[in-house]
Parts: sequence; C-alpha cells; structure tokens
Amino acid sequence: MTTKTIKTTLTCALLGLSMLCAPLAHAGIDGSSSKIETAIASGSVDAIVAELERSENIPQRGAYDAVLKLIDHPSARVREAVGWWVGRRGLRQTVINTAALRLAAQDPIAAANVLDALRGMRDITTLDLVAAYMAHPLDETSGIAGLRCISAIGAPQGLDTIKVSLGSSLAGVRAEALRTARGLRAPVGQKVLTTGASFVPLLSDADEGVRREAALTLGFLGQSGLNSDATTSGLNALVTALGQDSSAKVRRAAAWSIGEMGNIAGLDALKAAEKDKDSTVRSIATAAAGRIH
Amino acid sequence: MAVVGAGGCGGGGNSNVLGGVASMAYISQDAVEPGNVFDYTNGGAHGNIFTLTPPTASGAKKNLTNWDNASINSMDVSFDAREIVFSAKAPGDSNYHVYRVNVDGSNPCDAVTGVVSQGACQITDGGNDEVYPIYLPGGRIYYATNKNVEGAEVPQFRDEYERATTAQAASMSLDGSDQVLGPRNVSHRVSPALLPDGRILTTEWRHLGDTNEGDLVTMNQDLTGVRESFGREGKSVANSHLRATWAAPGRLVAIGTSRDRTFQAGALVLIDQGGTDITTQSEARSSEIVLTPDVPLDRSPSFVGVGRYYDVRTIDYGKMKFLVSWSDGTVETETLTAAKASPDFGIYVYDANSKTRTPVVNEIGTWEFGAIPIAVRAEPPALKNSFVATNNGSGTTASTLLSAINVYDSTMFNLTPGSAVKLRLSEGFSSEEGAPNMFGLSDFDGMSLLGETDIQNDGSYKALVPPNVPVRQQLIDKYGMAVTTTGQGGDTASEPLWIQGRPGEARVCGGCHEDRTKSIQLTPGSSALQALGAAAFDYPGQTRQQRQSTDYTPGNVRGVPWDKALQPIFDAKCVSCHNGQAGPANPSYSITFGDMSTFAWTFDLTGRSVDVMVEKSTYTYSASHISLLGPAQLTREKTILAQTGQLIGYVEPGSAHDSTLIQKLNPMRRYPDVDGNDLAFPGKPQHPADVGGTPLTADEYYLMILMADNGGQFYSRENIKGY
Repeated sequence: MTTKTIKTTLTCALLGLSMLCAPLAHAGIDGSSSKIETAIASGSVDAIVAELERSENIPQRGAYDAVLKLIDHPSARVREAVGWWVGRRGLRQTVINTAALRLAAQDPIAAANVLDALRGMRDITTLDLVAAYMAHPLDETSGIAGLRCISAIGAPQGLDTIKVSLGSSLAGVRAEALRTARGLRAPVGQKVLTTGASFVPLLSDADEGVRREAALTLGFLGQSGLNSDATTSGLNALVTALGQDSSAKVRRAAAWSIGEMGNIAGLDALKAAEKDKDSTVRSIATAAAGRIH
Repeated sequence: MAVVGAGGCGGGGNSNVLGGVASMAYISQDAVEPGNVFDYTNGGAHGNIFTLTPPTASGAKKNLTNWDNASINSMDVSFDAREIVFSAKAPGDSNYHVYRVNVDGSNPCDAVTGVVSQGACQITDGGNDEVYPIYLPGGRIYYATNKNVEGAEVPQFRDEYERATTAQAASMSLDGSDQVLGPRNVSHRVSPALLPDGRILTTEWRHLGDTNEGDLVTMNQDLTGVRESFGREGKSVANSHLRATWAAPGRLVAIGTSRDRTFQAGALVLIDQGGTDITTQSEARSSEIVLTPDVPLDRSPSFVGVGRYYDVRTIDYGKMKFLVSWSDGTVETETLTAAKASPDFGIYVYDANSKTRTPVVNEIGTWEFGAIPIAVRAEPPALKNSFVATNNGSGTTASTLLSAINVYDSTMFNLTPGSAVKLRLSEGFSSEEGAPNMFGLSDFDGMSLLGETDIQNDGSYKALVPPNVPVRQQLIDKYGMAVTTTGQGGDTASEPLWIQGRPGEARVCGGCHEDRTKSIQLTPGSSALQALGAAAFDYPGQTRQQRQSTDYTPGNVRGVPWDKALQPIFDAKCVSCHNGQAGPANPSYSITFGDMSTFAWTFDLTGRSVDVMVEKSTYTYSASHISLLGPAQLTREKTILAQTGQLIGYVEPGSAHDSTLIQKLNPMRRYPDVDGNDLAFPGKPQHPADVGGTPLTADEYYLMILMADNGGQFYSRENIKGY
C-alpha cells in the first residue's frame, strides 16, 4: 500500500466518509464486511469469491461469522475461497479445530466440505490431520477432497498419503492419488518421485479413469528425463497400454505420455497408433510422434 | 430454437448483417458464472460449436461438435476459412484441450491421411489445460496453458491472490506437435488475437505490489518481445480490457470492464494505438473511446436496454458496425443471482453510430458468443523473429539478455542525470514454492535478488538473467535505494511490471520506458553497451529453488528472510531500547473499530513470535515485522472509529526512500564507495547513533533497504515453510 493510499484510507475511515471517497483501485483492499455479507445473501458464487478476494488484505472482522458458515456452501469454489480467506486472518486455527472434529466424525459431507476449505488454506501443518483421514476416508468424494488438499499444499511429505491412497478400494481416490502425485513440489536439489514403479501396476487397474491417470503420471515423470525409471519400465508399460487397452481414453493418454517422454523408443508405437480405430487416439498419436526427435 | 429475427431492440433487417459473408460460427452453451476476467476454466456446460448459413434469422444452423456435455472455452477460424480451432473440456475430461474441426463438420486430422470422418479431432491431451487457441501464420497455433516451461518438477505460478494456477503463453504446430512454452509471467495471459502485422495481442494480468488490472500486451509469434500495448499509462477508462481484436490500422476494439462480477462482460471500447503501424504506435499517444456510453465501466449493475457486451469483432469499421455478444439487464452476478436469473447473451450486430443492435441469433436459456465470420482473411507474415532458442553449449539452457541504451531516456520517469548508479534485478515468484499463502504484511509477491550491475556513464547497462523467469528492474542511487523520481511512472524508478525472456532472447530497450515512437538504433561505438560484457546474473545450471542466499552479505543475499536476515540486526542494535516496553522509544497506539473492538500495540523490534489478536484476527509474525508493517495493514480497515497514538507504516513496501524506517536510519553512501559523511537524508540524524547506539554497518543498511525496496515481506525462499 502506498503512503498516499494509507492516507486516503485513513482519512476516509476517520472522517466516516467512506461513501464519499473514490474506490481504491488497488489489489485486495477494496472490500468491506457489508459487501461480503451482501454477496453471501445473494447466493452468487462469483460475487462471494470476488468480495473475498477484494478484501484480501483487510481484516473485515464484521464478516467472520458469516464467512465461516460458508464452509458448508454448496459450491466448492466458495469453500476453497473461504479457506484461503480465513487462513489469512488468524481464523486458521478455528478452521483447523473444526476440521479435526469433522474428520473424526462420521459425516462424509462435512468432512469433504472442510477439506475443501483446508485446500484453500494450504497450511502444511494440516498434512497430518488430512493424512489420518485419508487412511480410511468415509467415501470417494471426501477422499478426493483430501487428496486435492494435499496437492494444493504441495509439500513432498504428502507422498506417503498418496501411496496409501493408491491402494484404496475407491477408484476415484486411486485416480486422484495419481493426479496428486503430479502436484507435489520437489525439495531443493531433490525429486519427490524417484521411481515410477509404483504407478505401472495401475495401468492394469479395472477402472479406466485410474488407468488414464496412471498413464498421464508416467508421462509426467518422463518429461525432461525427470525420472529415468519412467523412461524404461514406464515407457514399456505405456507402449503396451497404447496397443492393448480397451479404452480409447487410456490409449489417448498413453500416446500423449509417450510424446511427453520424448524417447525415440516410443516412436514405433505411436506410428502404429496413428491407425487406431479411434480418431482421437489417432490425432493424439500424431501430435505425440511429432514431439519425438 | 429461437433464432431471433429482424427488429428487436435495434430495429432494422439482418439479411446481410455480415456484409455479404456467407456464414458465421459461434459457440452455444449453458449460462454460468464464469468468474473474474482471468478465470479460464469455469465455462458453461452443454457447449457446442455451430455454423449459421447465411448468418440471418432464416439461416441454417449446423452443430459441428455434437457433444452432450462439453464446455467450450474459445475458438478461431483459419485464414482460409476452412477450419476452426477451439479449446474445450470434453465430456468426461478433467482439463481443457485443443481441438480442430472443419467448418463442414468433418475431421481435418483424418482428412490429412485420406480418412473421411465427422467431428473434431483432439490435438492436445494430458493433465494441463490448453485454452484460447488462435491460428498463427506458418501452420502454427498460439494458446495459453498452465504447463510450466521450467519443467514438470516446478509448480506453475499462482495468480495475484495466490489462488488460481496461471495461464501462460505457448504455441504448437497444427497437428499438436512441436510445443513451445513461452517465458513465464507472474500471472495470467488470456483472450489473445492475431494482429494483421503478425503480432499476438493478449490480455495480461498486471500485478506487482498493489497493482491489479488487465492490460493489453503484444508479443512476437515465437513468444518473444512481450511489450505493453494499452492500459499501463493511465489512458484506460476501465480496470481491465479483454477479448481485444483488430478493427482498423492502429485501432482495436475490446471489452472494457471490472475485474470481477460482470460475467467477464462490459462496455465496447475503441482503442487508438497512437499510430497506424508498429513503427509509430505509442502507448503514450494512445487513447480510448467508449462505443457504448451507457454501459457501466465498473462492476455496478447495468440497466435494462443497456446490458453488457461479452465479445466483439469488427464487421465494417467505416460504418462502425461490430459483431457482438450482448445480454440485456444488469449483467452483474450479485443482483442476478439474488433474482435467481442469469444473463442471456446472444449475437447481435452493433451499430456504434446509431447506438442500435440488430439481433442475429439468441436462443432462450443458452449463451451464444464468440461469433466469427467464416471468411477468408489475409494470412499475416510469419515474422522472421530475431531470436533462435539455443542452449549455451554446456548442456544448460541459454540465458536471457536484458539491456538498455540509456536509462535516462524515459517518457514516464523524470530522472536526474547521474542519479542512477546501478540497476537492481530481482525475480518474482508466488506461493507455489511453499510459502504460506501470503508473504507478509504487504501486497508484494515473493521476490529474490538476482544482482546489481553498474549503470555506465552513457546510461547503459547489460545483464544476463535466467530465461523464462519474471524479472523486475529497479534503478538504484548511490545510497543503494531505488531512485526517487517524479512523473506518472511512480515515486521510484522501479519498473511497475515484470518482464521476461526466452532462452537466448535479447531484450534491448532504448531506456526506462523510452519514447516508443523512436526506433532503437545502435551504431558501432555509440554505446558502452556494445563494448561491455554483460553482468552474469543468470546462474546457469541452478534451479530457481537453488537461487537462494548463501549468507546475507551483499553479493550473496538473494531473498531477505525477515527472521534470518533482519532480526539479528534488530537484536544487536535495536532491541535494547525497542523492546515493547511502553515509553518514548516504544510508542503505543490503540484503535477502536466500528464494532467497538479495540487493538493496542506498543512498538517492539524483538523477534518474539506474536499472535497479534485483533478481535478474531491473528497475525503470527515477529513483533518486529508487525511493528514496522502492521499499521499499514490495520489502517486498511475502513471502520476505524477512533484511535490514540500515531499509526505509522514504518516500511513503505516497494520504496526504501519513502520508508520512515530508512529515513530514521539515514543510510550512508554506498556507491561507488562507502562514505559515512554522505547521508541519504542530509541534515537529519542517523539512528541509533543519534541516541548513543551502535550505528548500522553499510552492509546492514543494504539489507534493510533491499527489504523495503523489494516489498517488505516476511517470507522469502530462505525461510518459507515446505522447504
């Protein structure tokens, strides 16, 4: 905030002239508690999110209770924004305490909602709490919400939870675990994932969504030689999936990922896939082959 | 179906609304609240692409995609008018990808191989989004993506609010191969268009410090040479301009609107780029007029009969006729949701002379938008860019060269000759690197010093920086502070935006925002620039995570982590007096807020971790950070009823010179050599020596100044959580 802005704001505030002062055109300091409450009353997802963002850097004490209730708003966009907003205001611990209670209870909707809020908060200290829930998620939706929270935090410590989730009986959780693996942030000078071996078996999963995400994750690992293992066993597994998987979505993902790896050893498989019975697989195989030099 | 006939709000027939063009394409999908103008993944459901032939009420409508539940982001028609490229989230997919379809509905990818099939062909896949595709000359496509040019192991930047993953510039061949990822901006680049001269025009979310707006920039087809086009020199009438397209030589049409709450719709504006071609265009000479004067330019509700516009293309500039998508009503999220209603965008021809609209197609319950005449257009030249991506021969990526011929050549800053002795280069990042979702009690993003290089006697400089990385340039004076200046550029000569370059790209400018109407000319021997080796701030072989301070001495410092770099100085030289014990050295203040809650604070430069309670709000920073930056935070609340004591923002984020802390400390000259007799604020005492304390060393001053000039954050790479 510039000195000029501070003076303007303070003058408006002290003189009670907020209605007469020109709106501030700066980031995150143009909201008010009443605007937030009006947006909440309207029910508009966009208006709520916009007002929360606009008050990024204003305490807005008057709106705390109303905003906290939005943890159970029907829109995940709102729930995520609420977590982001309250996490900047010292309500962080309030939400964490709420999460601890909800995740220990037996209401999967309440759990999923608060996990969405934690996703917006992105607090590394909540990893253990989420990990504990992910050992036995109440249902697929809340399990996916938990993994998305881990992905948003991005800390490499989330890898253990991902490994557990890869063995879940819930297909959506397995698929989300694979997506989450792609969202972890590597520590300085290290790599989060040093092998793609644990993902290869999931190319044979019964669920096509899981197989597709497994293929994309192997491609992710193979980018720029990120994981040498992925360029050997991972590539072979992708070539097999491209040629044999019954799902066009999986074959398409396998083709794309072979292109991501950029390994010449995958070129023949891609050329063969340009004659696939599915037109989408054909066009993606062409695109992927064009990226192998 | 409810294709609307002639008449309606504007009156008049529509038998030849597109000037004889045989057909047009458009997108139809469900209404949705799409988010702010930079949100690119919140499209409506049940989207399909249609052609209307002829583009009249009686025209034949054809569905080219025939999807059950897709979401279409945007589309473009090829130069030969034979096919369409578009971005969509297909049924069952998790991401937006790029597709192509012929205007007759057949599959262009199969056609290449001699196979005849119907429907779109997909040319990208994977776990990222690819949006806003447009055709480029030479068989290429420009698009935006959240894939990271710096590799899979580096998360993509988050946006202004540390929330959404940013969309960055990219291009590829028509078949989806040969993907090129552009250098990263700190935030989104959306809604591009191709100009007839071959440049790409796009909207860029500009945010650095407390700036927050959507401005137009241009770039070359190889994603180099990003340059401001409109919105950054106080000429714009609205916060954001988006979906800008070419109207006539030197003229653009665009949507001017608020950043949020208007369904990404707004007024129609006509922008004069200040010249008819690139050699004469200058934002300094640019201007803008509103074609729809009754439409609010902010986010306030519009009016019945006025509405808002979603997109615009020029049909006949001479007659001021435009093909638009428009909805009647308030077109404001709060009022419409409260009324359980949505806007109803449909396609119209707008006559800016008569201020009338002629309806073309508007179906009940769905939005129609993105209309493009299906007509052959000239393919702009495939620009021979001056840049070829290379590596440096040692296996690492080539660096980017930044240089200026004369930093005193500026249309925005009034700089005293000789006032700048060095150029400070810092890189920007957001909280994807592991910080909690804010960096401290200021609006600034993460910043890390790359280095400082000399300004030569002729005003030039030359430096290598890491490629693909957003960089901020600041001119600094002999005291090490960002140079103070006057003019519209700001209080200090700090570039109010991020710049970036591709590997091997040379970004040479005439000065610090030199007159854009002048061409840059370098004759042999005319500038020290050519004779000098560039300062090496590129750190080849290091990842950006590895670009961290090895210690906090000048030369080795990168980020300025408050607790590690600054607190030891406070502890050694300040806290013996400034210890939180109320008294002359530790002034107190209290605030009574509108809800009658109170907050009291006593100045304290200790490093104790404090949960500062302001009613239910807790700031968990060191007492020193709260003391020096907290008042600025607290005064943002507009409901202060009363206060005792002075609320002083001791650190002015982004300006050491304007910071009370630095003025109090009164640094000595640092360049070309340290001189304790030459103080930055002559005639004023130097604290704490003025009260018998131990003076700060020159290097300690350096850290304090760097902290203030680079935003006053608490967190940097050196102390963020997650590492």
